[in-house]
Amino acid sequence: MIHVDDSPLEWQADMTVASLLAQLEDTGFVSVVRLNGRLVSSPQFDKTPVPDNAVIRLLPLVAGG
Amino acid sequence: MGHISLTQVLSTSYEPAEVRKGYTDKSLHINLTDSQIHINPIDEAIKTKFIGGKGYDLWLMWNAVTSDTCWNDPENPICISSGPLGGTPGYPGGGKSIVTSISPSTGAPIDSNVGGYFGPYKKFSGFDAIQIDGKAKEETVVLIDGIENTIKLFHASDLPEDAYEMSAALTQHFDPEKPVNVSVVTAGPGAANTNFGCLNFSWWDSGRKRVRYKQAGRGGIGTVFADKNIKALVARYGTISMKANAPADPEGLKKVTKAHAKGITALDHKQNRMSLVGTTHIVPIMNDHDCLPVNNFKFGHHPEGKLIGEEAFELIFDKGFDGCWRGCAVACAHGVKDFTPFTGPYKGKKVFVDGPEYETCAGCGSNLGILDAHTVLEINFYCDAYGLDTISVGTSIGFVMECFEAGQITLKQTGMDLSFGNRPNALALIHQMAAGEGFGAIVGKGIRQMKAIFAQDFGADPAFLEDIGMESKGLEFSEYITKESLAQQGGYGLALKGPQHDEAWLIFLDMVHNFMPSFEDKAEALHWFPMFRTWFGLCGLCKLPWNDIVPEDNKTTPEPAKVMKHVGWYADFYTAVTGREATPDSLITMSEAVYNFQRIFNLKMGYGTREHDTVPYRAVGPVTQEEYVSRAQRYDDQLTDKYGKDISGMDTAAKMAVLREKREEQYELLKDAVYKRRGWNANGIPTIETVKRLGIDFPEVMDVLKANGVS
Repeated sequence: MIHVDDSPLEWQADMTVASLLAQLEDTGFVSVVRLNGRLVSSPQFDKTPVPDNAVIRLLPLVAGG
Repeated sequence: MGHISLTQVLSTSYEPAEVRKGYTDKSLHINLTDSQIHINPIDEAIKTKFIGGKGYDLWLMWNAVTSDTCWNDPENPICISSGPLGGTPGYPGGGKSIVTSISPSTGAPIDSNVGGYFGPYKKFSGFDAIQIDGKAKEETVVLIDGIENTIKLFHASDLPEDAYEMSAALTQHFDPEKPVNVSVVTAGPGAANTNFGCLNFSWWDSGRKRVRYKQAGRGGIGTVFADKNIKALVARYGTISMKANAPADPEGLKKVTKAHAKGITALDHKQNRMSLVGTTHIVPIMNDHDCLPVNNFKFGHHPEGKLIGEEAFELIFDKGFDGCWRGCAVACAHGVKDFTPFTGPYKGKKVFVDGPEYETCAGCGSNLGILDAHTVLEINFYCDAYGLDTISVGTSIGFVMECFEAGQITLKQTGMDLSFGNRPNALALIHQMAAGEGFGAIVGKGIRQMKAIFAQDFGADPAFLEDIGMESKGLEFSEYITKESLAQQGGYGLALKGPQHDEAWLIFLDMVHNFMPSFEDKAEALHWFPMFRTWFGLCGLCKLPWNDIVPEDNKTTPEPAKVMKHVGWYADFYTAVTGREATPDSLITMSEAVYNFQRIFNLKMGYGTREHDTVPYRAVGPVTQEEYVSRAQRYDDQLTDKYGKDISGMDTAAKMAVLREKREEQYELLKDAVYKRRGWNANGIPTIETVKRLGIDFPEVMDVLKANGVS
């Protein structure tokens, strides 16, 4: 089980950040997530595995300084 | 803290204007040449059109300068205003000051939005705006005392030189019992010796029992301040509550303040965690997306980029409340205690550093090839203490380092190795800049002047310098790589004051998400976003609470980038304080009038046309073969897929030439689209129809347009 923005979701063995986002709605603006507290940016989404029990936050659209 | 002595040369009592619905309807004019003080009314027509903040500042400036006024002429004023909403305790980002002057860097109006308590204290003392002009014969301290209702001028000859010590000393001097009542504006010794001096605005940190600082950094207003022989501006005021602005609808204000603050408190720790890391979270994000400036904006990524980002600073920042305004829930103004510099006058001593923010990490870190948090902190500390803008310092030194490595300048001129990554010499250069000595005295003139000096006196290649010198309109770029975002190239190049990101930050909407594929889409964004961001400067607010922490359901709204729920709250906020009914659309119209007025002000000063909206090619595409080769696949693909070119048989130089032609063509087409959307002609000048629609068709404005062929 993982938690995405406080909602539980079933974990899958080969899950990446990219495959996780593909399952979710309204993620078109997501270019950065926090995976267990660490920032992960979109260029790394498809090569970043999501471990079981992960806590993921979908960060808002990056708005600059 | 040693005793200081000030010699009072003028004291004037005044009847304080009552604050009503966010306004005092008075401005304070101080002429330093003859020590004259005048309190002037602000009439309803000006209030309606210019709103406050930057709008008031620009109006005062317009009437104070002629088209021939230079930054160091006595008539060039420094204006400070906080806007009708400024000074609302508890509203996130609700205490900003907006400072303007004719810039030493650009020759045109510059504006800077800064935290600290000065702006609200000034307003509650009775003045929506202050205008300071003339030049003092001796070093002068100005006190606006809203508790005793007096304005005093002092001559001072033995004040501490650096901004930190001076503000602390004056805070203790003017209210030793209640230092929270005092806010001090200072520059620092470096401001007098460079063209990019900043102003430090203070507030008293009750938790740490020390003076803290935010900076009005851009465009050299600190240099103007020093040229006027002002050592400090001091505002003193007492208790502030939600009633201080005498809002038209106290219950409405309470409701919207609570809603926004509650949202920030509930969501910041789930999103960007700015209350813990400030804006340093942006460093790794930009680095991962190839947008972090590395080695004078050559590249957008460094393998060690995270060493100067949130992972480092979360551990280093001192824990505690860090709001630069009372009760701000974002509370992002972090600092580092017990920091020990390894160079300069504070070498080996423990100091408190206010910062760094993202721009300083990027500009004074990766852009110099320095991936070391300690050095970034030391540069941050000395820039603030000396009164130097960290953005212009970082971007200028990056330029110098590339010139050095490219052989455009040599040890003969610099006197020191200025290769990228040379930490001790980067710091040595800053000490020189502050003192106006050695090669640092040249660097302190800024990139535009350095380009001329390097070409004329040192035999450097002027075309190369034009390509790599990251300035536009004379102002050094802030710290984002824009090569792959045409919209952000416009965000910088079409910004009124020069390439600062506070008008528009569209990189992710454009480059990452491709949500604005057409020129018209980009032009629409380069209309709405600059207008809405301008509104914060009119009202005395910070933009961070708008779109850096967003409602959880924002992603399901039609236009998530605009965060319309928050825009609606800002309209409610404005209505509750001023009693004037506002909507999200009317906020844009308010800004549009002031924005176009500022464009015409640029025109009045000899700028404000298409030719001045250019950007160096380094902002648009790869200048050197090294850059092209480092992202060869990206550029090759664009040439073939986007532009339909057959690149077989073309060497790198040939491919670079074709890419440059195409990209520069795109930038010109973008200008056309944006000018059209903004209601400007092909030369970038507002049309008669536009100024009439916005109600800024004053006779003086029409005269400027007519003189520039628009009638």
